[in-house]
Amino acid sequence: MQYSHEAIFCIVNSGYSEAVMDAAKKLGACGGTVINARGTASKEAETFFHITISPEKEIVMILVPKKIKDDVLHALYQDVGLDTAGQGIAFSVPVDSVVGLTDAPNAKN
Amino acid sequence: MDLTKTKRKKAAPNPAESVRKLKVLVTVVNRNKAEFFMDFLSGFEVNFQTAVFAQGTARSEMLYMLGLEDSDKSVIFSVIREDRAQEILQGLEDKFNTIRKGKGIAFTIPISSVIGVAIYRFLSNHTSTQSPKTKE
Repeated sequence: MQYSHEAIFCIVNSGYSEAVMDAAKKLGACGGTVINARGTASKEAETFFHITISPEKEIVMILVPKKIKDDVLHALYQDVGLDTAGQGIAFSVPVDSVVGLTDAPNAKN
Repeated sequence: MDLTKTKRKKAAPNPAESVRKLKVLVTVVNRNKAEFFMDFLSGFEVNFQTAVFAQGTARSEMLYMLGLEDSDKSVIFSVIREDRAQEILQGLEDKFNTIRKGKGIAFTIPISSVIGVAIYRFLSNHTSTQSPKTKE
């Protein structure tokens, strides 16, 4: 079975979902869905590394064609990666079958 | 001798027949339609589903084109059986196209493993008591 699409999940600090979508849209993603969530990093790890992790998170779910998946992940890593204020992590999962996507032209790409 | 006998017995039932693979079905729809789609999905032997509130982020001109004005969404995660996936997706697509403001997106993700026989039987709606016993 070949997978034509991938679902990219990007977990960022609350308020950075706009930045995620801006980065993804540059590469031709059409839209995403934002889910509110709460992170659960360990307190010991936070004190050890001298960082504070705000528990309020947003999960951005973006469905993209497989061929632009790597580019979108790279863009997310650059723009909202762990080194940035968004402190984002992103991963993608292969998606079997998709319904409901209109074949809208991928604006910029 | 007994051992070989039981071994042969174990090998006999076809595992492909009794173990049906599961998938996660992710459905993104307008928030006020979530209840409807959950009801619709529960008609396909779907025992477990959960909905979370979300926001859509499509461009405004795109929203206009698709006839979607509000960005309040619900994401429904349902566990479905692989053999019914096509049927369910087909049904969803029909609903997306026919219901007013019922446009949405649905996709499936394969589940690679599940722990617990009872959980598996619950998720796959495995009501017959035979095959999981013979499998063990």
